[in-house]
Amino acid sequence: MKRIYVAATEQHAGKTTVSLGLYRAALQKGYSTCFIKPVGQRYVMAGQEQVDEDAVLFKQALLAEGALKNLSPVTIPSGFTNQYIFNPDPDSIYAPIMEAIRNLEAEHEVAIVEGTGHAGVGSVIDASNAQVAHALEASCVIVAGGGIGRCIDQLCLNQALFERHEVPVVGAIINKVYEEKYEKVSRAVRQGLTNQGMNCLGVIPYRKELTFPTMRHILEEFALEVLCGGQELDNRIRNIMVAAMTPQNMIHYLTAGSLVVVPGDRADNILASINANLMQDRSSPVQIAGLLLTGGFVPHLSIVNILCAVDVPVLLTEDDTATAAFKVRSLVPKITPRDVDKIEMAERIISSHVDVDCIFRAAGLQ
Amino acid sequence: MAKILYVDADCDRTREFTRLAAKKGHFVTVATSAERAMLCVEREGGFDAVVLHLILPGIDGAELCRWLERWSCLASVPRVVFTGPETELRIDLTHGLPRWLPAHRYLDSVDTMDRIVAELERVLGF
Repeated sequence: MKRIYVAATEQHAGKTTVSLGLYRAALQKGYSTCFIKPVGQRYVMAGQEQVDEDAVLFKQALLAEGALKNLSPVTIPSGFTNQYIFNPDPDSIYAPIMEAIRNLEAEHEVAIVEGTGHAGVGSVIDASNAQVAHALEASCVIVAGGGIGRCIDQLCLNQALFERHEVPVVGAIINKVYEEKYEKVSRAVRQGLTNQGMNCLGVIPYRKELTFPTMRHILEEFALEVLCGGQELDNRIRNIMVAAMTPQNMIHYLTAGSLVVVPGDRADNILASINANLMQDRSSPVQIAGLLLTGGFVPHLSIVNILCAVDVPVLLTEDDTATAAFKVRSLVPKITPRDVDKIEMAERIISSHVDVDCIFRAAGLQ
Repeated sequence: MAKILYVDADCDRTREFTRLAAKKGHFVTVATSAERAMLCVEREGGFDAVVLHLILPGIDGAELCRWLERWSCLASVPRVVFTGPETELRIDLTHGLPRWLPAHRYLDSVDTMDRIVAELERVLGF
């Protein structure tokens, strides 16, 4: 079984997007393909077992074959690193990974292996991406965030660690390049990487849609409470609006997909937002994603009654408005099994902007 | 015998509750709004239970429950909330109460005050 290791220069560079695209491309080319996240840091409970959330994504949304424990053999719980430093036991990490890969190997020609963080992440527990890729005898693709100078600098640094562990680096994929700078960045980064002896496998334009969270994302990420509209939690948030001004001023900032962050006792702005939402039927395009009521305030029950009659999700938080808005803005949403549109988009942009044939050839696939 | 604070803006319902509760030997203090109920608590305190209609003029019953729980001397005192048949609540409270409504019991569409008195006595362990 050929193994393609998807690494990155930093967190949130786009490993999952690339893994999704490569996984689907391999299937389309007729290879029996599996997915594995050997070391996971963000996990969920599946029964009694901790499994990485990316493994759950592949299992649920792409129906990846194999037991979940094979797709996510090792997760790092809180406090593990400190324990490991005083009692190092590499076998406790590598044995389950190698067992999982053996289980998957029996029925698959290619494995898409997703790393975690930059090349050095995991070094403290003897399981950096470079060390794990070496153990798996994988070829490596490195994903970097958009840019020229910083991006190439980081790629060289990461490449050096992979090479130190004798992992063949197929090349780099530059992700999240702004459309308006795409031509310029693409030309420069391709030449810059060639100058450094690295292959540029693709330059992917920034797709804002991939960064839009849903109301469910923020509900789950911040353990909020649903006041009403729980059936509309898949509404996508396109922008975040703090409704701290008077309604007549606030209304101008409402756009389709707005999450209105508003103190729970500002009935005026709450009702103005709902009114704007209802206007959609009268040829106005505003349809808000939802409301986040802050300060631990719940509106008067007569207002709650009105909110319940509108198909808008309303969440509650104890945080003040500024803190709540900051937290939501800082959220980098991971692709989840429910994000069917994002998964399709990830597949499309990888097949159209990345030289997947080159990656498969370098991995030894015909 | 228990000392009850009853909060409701409806005179007929209040009269009926007071009559039935007195018959059972309870002493009832009446407030016609949440604000008046807060004053009663501040001035008198010492209630064994609070019974309140959810829809009140001004501050609503849910807000009053939060105030009782967070800021009053009655934090641990049972709170029985209800709505009459004339009140249409679109939010479903019959399958458990949300955090923002910290009450011990909720009765919806209450058409006779016997129900409230019976529930109150159950809560108080009579």
